[in-house]
Amino acid sequence: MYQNSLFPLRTIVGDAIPIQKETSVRQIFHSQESKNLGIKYHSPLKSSIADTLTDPRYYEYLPAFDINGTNFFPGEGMDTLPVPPRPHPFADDAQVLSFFALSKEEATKDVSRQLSTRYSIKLPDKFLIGGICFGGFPYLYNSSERVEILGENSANFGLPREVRLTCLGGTADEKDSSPFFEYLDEEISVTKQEIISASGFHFLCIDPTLTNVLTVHFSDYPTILKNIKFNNRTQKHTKTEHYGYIIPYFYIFEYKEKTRYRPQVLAGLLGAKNNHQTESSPEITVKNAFADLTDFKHIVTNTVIGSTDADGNYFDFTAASVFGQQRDFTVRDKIYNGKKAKGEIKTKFEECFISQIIKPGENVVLYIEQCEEYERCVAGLKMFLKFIPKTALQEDVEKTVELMREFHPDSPDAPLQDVSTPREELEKNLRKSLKIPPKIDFCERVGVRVFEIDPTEGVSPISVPLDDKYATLLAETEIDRHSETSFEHFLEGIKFVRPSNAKFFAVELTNRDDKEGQFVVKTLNLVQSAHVSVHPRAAKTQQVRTLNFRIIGANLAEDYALLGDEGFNFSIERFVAGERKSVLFRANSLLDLLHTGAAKIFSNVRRRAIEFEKTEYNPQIKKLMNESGEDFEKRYSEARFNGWRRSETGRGVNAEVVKDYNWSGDKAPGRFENYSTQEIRTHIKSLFPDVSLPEWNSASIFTNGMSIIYAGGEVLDATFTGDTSGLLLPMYKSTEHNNVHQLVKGFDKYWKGINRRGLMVTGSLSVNQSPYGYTVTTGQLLHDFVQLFDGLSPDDVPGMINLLFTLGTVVSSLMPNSPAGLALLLPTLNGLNLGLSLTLGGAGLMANPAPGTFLPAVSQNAAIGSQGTIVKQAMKSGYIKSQFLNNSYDEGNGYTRFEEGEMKRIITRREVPNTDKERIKGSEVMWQGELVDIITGAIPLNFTLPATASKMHFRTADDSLRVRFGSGVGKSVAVDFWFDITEEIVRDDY
Amino acid sequence: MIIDRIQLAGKDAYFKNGADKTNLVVGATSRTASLAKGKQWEISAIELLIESTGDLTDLFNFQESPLLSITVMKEMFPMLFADPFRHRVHTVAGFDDFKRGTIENGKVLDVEGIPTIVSVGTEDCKWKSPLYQMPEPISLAHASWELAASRKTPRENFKYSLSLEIFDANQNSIQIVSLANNLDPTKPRKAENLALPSAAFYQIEFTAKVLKDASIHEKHTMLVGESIGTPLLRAVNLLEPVNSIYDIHSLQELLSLSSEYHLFEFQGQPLKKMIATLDLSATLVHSENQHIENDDLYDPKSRFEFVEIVVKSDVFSNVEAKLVGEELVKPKYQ
Repeated sequence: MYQNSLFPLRTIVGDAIPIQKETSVRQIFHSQESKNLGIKYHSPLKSSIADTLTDPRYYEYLPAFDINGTNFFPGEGMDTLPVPPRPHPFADDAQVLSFFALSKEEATKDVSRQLSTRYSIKLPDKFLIGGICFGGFPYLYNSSERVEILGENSANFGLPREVRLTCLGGTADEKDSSPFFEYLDEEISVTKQEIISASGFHFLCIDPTLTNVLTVHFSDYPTILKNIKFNNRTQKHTKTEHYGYIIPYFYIFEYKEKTRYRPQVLAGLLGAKNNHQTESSPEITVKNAFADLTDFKHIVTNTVIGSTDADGNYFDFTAASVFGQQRDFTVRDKIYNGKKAKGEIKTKFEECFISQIIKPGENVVLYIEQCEEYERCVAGLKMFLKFIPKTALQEDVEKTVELMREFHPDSPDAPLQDVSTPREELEKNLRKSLKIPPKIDFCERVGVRVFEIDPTEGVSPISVPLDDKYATLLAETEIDRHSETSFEHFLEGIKFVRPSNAKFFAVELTNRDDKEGQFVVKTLNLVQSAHVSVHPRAAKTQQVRTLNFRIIGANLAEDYALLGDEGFNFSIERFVAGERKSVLFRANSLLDLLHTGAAKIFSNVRRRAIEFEKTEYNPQIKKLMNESGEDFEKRYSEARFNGWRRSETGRGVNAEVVKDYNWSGDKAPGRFENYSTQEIRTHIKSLFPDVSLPEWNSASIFTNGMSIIYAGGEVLDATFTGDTSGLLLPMYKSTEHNNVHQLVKGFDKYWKGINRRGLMVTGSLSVNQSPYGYTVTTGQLLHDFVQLFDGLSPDDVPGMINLLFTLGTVVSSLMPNSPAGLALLLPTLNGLNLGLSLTLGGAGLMANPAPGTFLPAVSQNAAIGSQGTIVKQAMKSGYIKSQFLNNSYDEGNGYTRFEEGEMKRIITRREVPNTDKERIKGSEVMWQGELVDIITGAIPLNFTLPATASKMHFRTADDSLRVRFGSGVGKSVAVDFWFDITEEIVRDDY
Repeated sequence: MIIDRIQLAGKDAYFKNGADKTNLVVGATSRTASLAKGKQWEISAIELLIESTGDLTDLFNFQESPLLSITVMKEMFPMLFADPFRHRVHTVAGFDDFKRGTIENGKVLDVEGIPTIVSVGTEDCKWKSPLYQMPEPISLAHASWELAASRKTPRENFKYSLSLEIFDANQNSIQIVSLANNLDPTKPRKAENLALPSAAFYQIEFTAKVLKDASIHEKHTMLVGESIGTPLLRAVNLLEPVNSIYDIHSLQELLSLSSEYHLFEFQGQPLKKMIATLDLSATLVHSENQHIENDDLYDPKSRFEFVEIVVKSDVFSNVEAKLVGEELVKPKYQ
């Protein structure tokens, strides 16, 4: 019993991993037998798949034929490898690694299993490796004897029969990391060994492994035919074969699970057989030398065959080309020998499959294999089988055109083919359009049977006879009409009686005409079923235990009435003996899916994008919520703002702003107002001028010198320390402070934007002028004099002083040289008497003011110079009201950090009408880097599909389980359905 | 296509003696005919009518020779026909057995879910099992072995040999019997009628020379420098003869094996008649490997699936046996 899973819709092939440089690929081993045979290895790295079209090494893998002394070499174009048709497994510009090996010595004994080599590949970074993909050269010569006896293809399309991938990754815990190979039972290798390989791509998958180093092991090399020599005398042929391999395509791919849902299934040819009975001939000729082959070989020569200097080219029209890699052949008037083509072009051909001439009743069987990493459910095949039908050609052409219009209603009306033309002419035109050799004789009535092949272990699929119990007939039809040839390719295809999950198929083409002919097949494609199903197999009993499903899409949970944007839907149906016995499950919507309980959904949260929100907080709410603590907001914040701010406040603010923000009602602010009250207390310190000015220096020296009388300590201290702050007149000298003025010192940064060089305190200069000078106009003085007497009262002393002053001025003005001018000397009476006094206590400075201001000093001063002050100011506002319109502009980056906060409140949210459908999604569920919703489920089934080849099988083979997709799979969902199956091999033939 | 199952009925459902009569007392041995290809019988029971002129109650005691003996011949293993009720199968297989033995140029891998000895490299692959000691000496009658490759594998792919060595209680080798000697994969994988002395110990040795690779696609531990060859040995089955529960030595045994029975008892009179439905589950089917020697179903060389009943002579006056089961048929597509 073997637990297995069937993944018809899944692919795990991600992107191709770039290898980047050729030196990253290093051969680290090749076996002794490989050395003995002198096998040369190459592993070029090509920048894209297009670069694999040509390679000078291809020619070395193609044989030459010697027929009675005439040599036939591969023709021009034979040594090319066209890019496979789309879809390609990887991007066109992905790097491709190629591997070549070819022995120098001839293969004289079977040592294929002793030949092996191993490469180490270092990737530029660590990737999650999913496996490798590789493909061979589809056009190599194949020995028919080996096919019959061993079921193997001698050249195996250039592929070694054993390929092994080892990922040298590692794992780690919190204390250590270790490579995988240190674990004795870590399964880090995967081996794929085949009796026979297909011509298409091969996938060798491994458990996802994160690594940047891997090794690839190739062994069991095929034999490459280099030459066949036909000897007419001995009626035998001798072959020269060499061991080697050719792997033009080699990719390493990332592991990535995706949905694979498209009609075309990648496939490749395993081998072709025929039951053609060749007629014995007394001599070997060019015509009959290749008659037992399946593929047609077109021969051209430069001269008459048999002449001594005759050489020729041959062109193969291989069965492997039906899958789309069709070469362009060029025939020139000079023989091509693998070097630069010479001579004039005579004709060109395009490769397709052309069989040898097949007699009525004989057949050709093409064994084909699915070439994807998992087997798909195949519903049939499309085959473009070309010939000019004999039967009802005229009406058939009309029918074809009608049906084409039905399937493609917008297509332009195609002109009807002129079928009155003789058939020979039509065939000639057909050969010309197909670009095939002119003497091809089409088979015009072809029987087609398709079988699925399920061989037992150890048996090659091409060794299974078509009438064997391990071959199950899937389709049988006969093609002899134009509509059939067209529809088999374009529309209907050849539908199987039921879909098949088989890996191997056999397509049998039988000549049902009454004359011999050649099958000409332009293309052949396997077509995937639109649904997923499981069916009985020949060699294995299957117990279908569970059907699992997984649906992934960004909007799966958007609307429960749908599954994805395109309305994906499915049902699970059980068919027995042609009847739909039961519908186990049906889901047209997400609600259907969840209703049964078989599915789980992992979805991102959806909530309304637009809501009305109201917050209330007051003592009643606290009481309601039984909250007794204080509301508080304890906030520590740091704020930083860099940028510009523009603000405009007050009357005359931009009219547009006023218009937009014009309050109304009782609270309308009216006109602009801004007022406040404040009390200001000021302390002013006057600074002595800078003593770098000589006049102030000498004055301070004198004064401070005089002060030695009563402050001798300070003077001495200043003398010794230079600290003049204790002197009567502090002596600040900016030249001794780096030219920093006293007013600036300690305040440097606050004078930003003001030239500090002008901030030197220089003292003030007063200019006194008598108001009775000549410059005073007499009229004015008299007027002032009258004014004084009018308002004077007897006890108004200041008024009397002012009167005297005015009198003096008036007198001086009227009589400049009169004694009245003495009045001008009156202010000098306000001087001081200074003198020194000595007492028993010591010396002191005596300063006696004048006995009193006997006369008022009347002067008028104008001061120049400068004065320094330090102002410290505290301001208290009793009331401020500010009301203004703003037209502001802020620009900058802000940063605020809060430490703590709490607020007790009730929030009420209400929908905003007509905005309910606008929703935002959470980001809880992610798949491959995208936010999606996921639905998974498992439906237990537990039914058995007995092996049809078992002697114990007596139930109907028409038993299946199908997952039917009602409308396909859209792009909005990634869908995967897979079956868990327990398989048991039928042991009857063991 | 679906074809109905039908209940076995009519005279065809009865065992018959050589004279085509249903009383099995005469003739003593009766077996079912070989089934045609596409036919299968699913037998669930045998209905018995037993009559005696004497007193059947005397037969409720153990009798030295069986009153009734029923044989179910099945193709127990491909091409090996034997009665599963009369044989105990010793299956040597799995990781435990294969890894406890010694292995050269091979590796035990999980191939298609079955532990399999797979050749590695190009030299001969050899495996020698551990020495198995039995609680009591046993006799081994037949052997069958399973290889990963089917018999349809090309004969050129590999050759192999298999031997069984038996030992006495003192672990002295008594005999080495070659079960397979340089066979190719197309040859039958069985050895019948070994006629070996009792074995207190036994040991198996397998050798293979691999010439061609086979198909394999598996994960495995790292292999350094070696190529994988062909999946080879999966199991060796040794058949030890044992007593069958269908050798019925008393009527009490018969009743205990029967789901239903009825004794036609009359007060004061001996028991002369009884019926019983003997439970017996067997599926008989045509086999491509069957062989009727000389068109004689009873020829010792005939190999096919059947149910056979042997009635002890001179005990009963009439014994009739009818198969209870269903017949299935299937067509062959042409």
